[in-house]
Amino acid sequence: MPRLFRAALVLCGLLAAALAAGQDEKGPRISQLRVDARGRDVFLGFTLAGALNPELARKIEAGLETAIRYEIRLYRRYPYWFDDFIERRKYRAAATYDPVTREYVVDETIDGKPLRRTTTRDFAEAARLLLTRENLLAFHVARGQTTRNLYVQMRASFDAGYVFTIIPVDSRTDWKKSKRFNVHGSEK
Amino acid sequence: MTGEKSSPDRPTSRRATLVAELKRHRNENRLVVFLALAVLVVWSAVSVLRQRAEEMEPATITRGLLLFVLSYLNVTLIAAVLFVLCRTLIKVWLERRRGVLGSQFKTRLLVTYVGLAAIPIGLLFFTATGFLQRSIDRWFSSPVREVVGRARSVEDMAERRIAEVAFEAARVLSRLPLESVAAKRLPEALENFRREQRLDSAEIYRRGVRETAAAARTLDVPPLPAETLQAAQLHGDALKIEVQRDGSHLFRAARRSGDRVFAAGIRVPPADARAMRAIASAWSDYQKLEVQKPSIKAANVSTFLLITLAVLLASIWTGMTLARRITEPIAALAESTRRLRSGDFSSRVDVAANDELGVLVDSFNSMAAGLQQARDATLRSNEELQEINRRLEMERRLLSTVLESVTTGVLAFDAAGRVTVANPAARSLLSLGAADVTLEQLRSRPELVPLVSLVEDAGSGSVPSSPRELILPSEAGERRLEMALRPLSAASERGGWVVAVEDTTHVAREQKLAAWSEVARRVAHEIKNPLTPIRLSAERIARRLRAGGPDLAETIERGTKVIVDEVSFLKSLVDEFSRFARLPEMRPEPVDLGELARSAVRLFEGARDGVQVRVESHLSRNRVLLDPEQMKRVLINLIDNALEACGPAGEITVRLSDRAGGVTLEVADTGRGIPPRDREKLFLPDFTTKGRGTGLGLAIVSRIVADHNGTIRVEDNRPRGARFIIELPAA
Repeated sequence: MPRLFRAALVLCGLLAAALAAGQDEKGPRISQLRVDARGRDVFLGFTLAGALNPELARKIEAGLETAIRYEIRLYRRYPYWFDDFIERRKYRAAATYDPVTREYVVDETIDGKPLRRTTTRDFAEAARLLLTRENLLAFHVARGQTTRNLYVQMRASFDAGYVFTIIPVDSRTDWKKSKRFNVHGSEK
Repeated sequence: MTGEKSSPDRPTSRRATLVAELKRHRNENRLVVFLALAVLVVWSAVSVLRQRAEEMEPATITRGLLLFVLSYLNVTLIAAVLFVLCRTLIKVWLERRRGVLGSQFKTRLLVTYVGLAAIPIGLLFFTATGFLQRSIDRWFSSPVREVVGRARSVEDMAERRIAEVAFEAARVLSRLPLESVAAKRLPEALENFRREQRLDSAEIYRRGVRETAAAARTLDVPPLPAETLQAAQLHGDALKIEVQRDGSHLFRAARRSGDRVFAAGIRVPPADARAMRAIASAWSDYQKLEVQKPSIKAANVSTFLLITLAVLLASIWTGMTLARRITEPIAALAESTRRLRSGDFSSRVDVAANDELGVLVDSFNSMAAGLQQARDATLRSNEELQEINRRLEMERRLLSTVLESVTTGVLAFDAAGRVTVANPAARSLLSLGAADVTLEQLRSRPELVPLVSLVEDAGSGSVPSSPRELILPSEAGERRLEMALRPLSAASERGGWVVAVEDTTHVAREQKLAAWSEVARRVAHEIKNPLTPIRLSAERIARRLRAGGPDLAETIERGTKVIVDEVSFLKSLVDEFSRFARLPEMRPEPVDLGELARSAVRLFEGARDGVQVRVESHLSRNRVLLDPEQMKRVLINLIDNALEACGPAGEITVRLSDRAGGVTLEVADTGRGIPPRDREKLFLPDFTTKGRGTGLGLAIVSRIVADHNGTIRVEDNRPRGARFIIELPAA
């Protein structure tokens, strides 16, 4: 029994080391998250850094649909208590390459609803559209909802390959928190 | 009885019911857990699948979904295999530690089975996946990539040339002096330019809005998208390739000049466009496949792994089931054997098996049933024995009480002659102490010799059929005891005898009184009988004397003779009684008993022709201490009686033999015998079976024998007649 226990401990240690090694500081992360409250509308601007690795670029260029999923959450901050979750959005940007027209089509959806479609022949532009977004209307704070001490946190996830060559896994960034903000203005 | 018998089985049957209930519950719990796990797995699979499917395009959903399902199944199977394997190994390990019967066999069987299955499966898996991966790599080998790449380069080149021509046309168009052309004539001028340049379309845009356009009739030329115009504004030129409804490709090159954008379009015919599309599609498909190469490998490896794991799981399961099927009956047999050993005879092996183990289980159950029946029978016998013992104890107490309270003395002797029982009456009658009584003690007392002789005779096989008399001296004269010996149960292994000692002093006295009364009556009768002829003779003589006559002398002589005869008879009668009343004092001396017997027998030689009298002597000692005259009288009396009993023909044997502590003298005849009813009165003074006699003969014989401290009894002779047995002490 002690031998088995020691073996289990060693295995756990190796697993923890492997997991720790996987937490690369230069890995994909939300590098910027800006919030702009205009009236009761909350607009976001963000940049996903470290995600466009060669595998992802190759996948885009090969014509496979390549999507990056963003999960955005709105919270009310409390100094001495648990923060209050208010609302959640799922923003998705997917790029597809048409080898005949030689164009990249970037489709954006929010909560599954089409938001925008952009066509470009430039790969850099397509990558930029996947990784960066400005003026994204993420939330509308309705009347009766909390307007003060709000903050947004978001993370991105995308296909990242396989574990043990058979298990497809997603790569997921850590949560990125915005600065606190208040919304003003009357309900339209 | 029934209740007592069924009571031990009740807890066992309740335990069996509980075990069955527990098994059922365990199976139900297993089923519930299995169903819950299955639901959890399916639910999680469906949830994750739905989430992923939402985010996938239909074109990619199939492969991704397939891969996901395969990987999900693989992970589930790996978890299941690991769980089953770990659980099995832990169970087997625990069973081995606990020393459960069959655990070693189960381990060996399981390891063998899993090893035999895992090694070829593993080899096949690694070989097949390696081969497959090499095959996939071969699909994406350099020649294929080169061919696809060159085709794409050719297509690129063709498209570039078309684009260059279009850009050149757009450049020429942008340099046309169109400001001088009136707005009305601008479409015509543009149409002329298109025709001159052999273009399929020509367009002019100002501030993002198309001013005019000219195109071949067959073409559908919508305005350029804003992104293209913006790109042209931004970079100076932009290209837009569109697929027409007829399958043709329209290359539209846009060039900025001032605030205007000029676009020239060249149409690639459907046939050429189809070829270009095929090349583009092939290239695209190849690129996609190359990107998806890890996925394809993963899918194939997953498929193989899935099959491998399924086979492995099936083999483990089969191995476990096989091992369980073999070891479970063995363990159940061991458990039942243990329970049998601990006394639970209701234990049975309840394992379903149809093979040799089933036969073994059936045999064991039959054996257990047999043991249970035997145990029940033993219990019943034990209970019966206890009941018998209880009854015996009661009877023993009753007997003990009876023995304590009766006035008859009871002595029990075992087969070796040891005294086992001597009740208080026996101790009192025989003047024995309170201590244990032994045969040696009895033998040391001369007055108890008849008792010892009785027991020793019984030990030598001569069991007397009639009681014997024992006379003991007492303060009041003598005490007459009657001893009756009976063998203890013949069926008893121990054997032995019981001697009942009855004090018959009082009875003998009364019998004696009655006998003397009878003697007086008979004496009176016997005396009276001769008196009558005497009186009649005297009266006849007197009458003749008075009458006179010639026959007077004869009458006197005859009458006198009668009177003398009768007086002689009276005298002999009186003499006999006198002899009986006053027997001479006994003068014992060492006598040759054989010679004495022969001398007595010689007196009867020729007495009766048909009767043979003989002596058989088996004596080892030469001389016996006794009174020869009185003993000869005894013999003469007995032989005389025997001669009387034999009638005209018969045989009389005087048999002499040794016995422990003395000699036996036996007079046997083949006469009419003595009925049992007469035997008790045989030695009384008044008893006679003869028509004429005093009845004192045997009484005198009995008296002489008693004076010699011996005993006399009568038994039946075989095949007929009577046998008088006299037992005398040696000294």
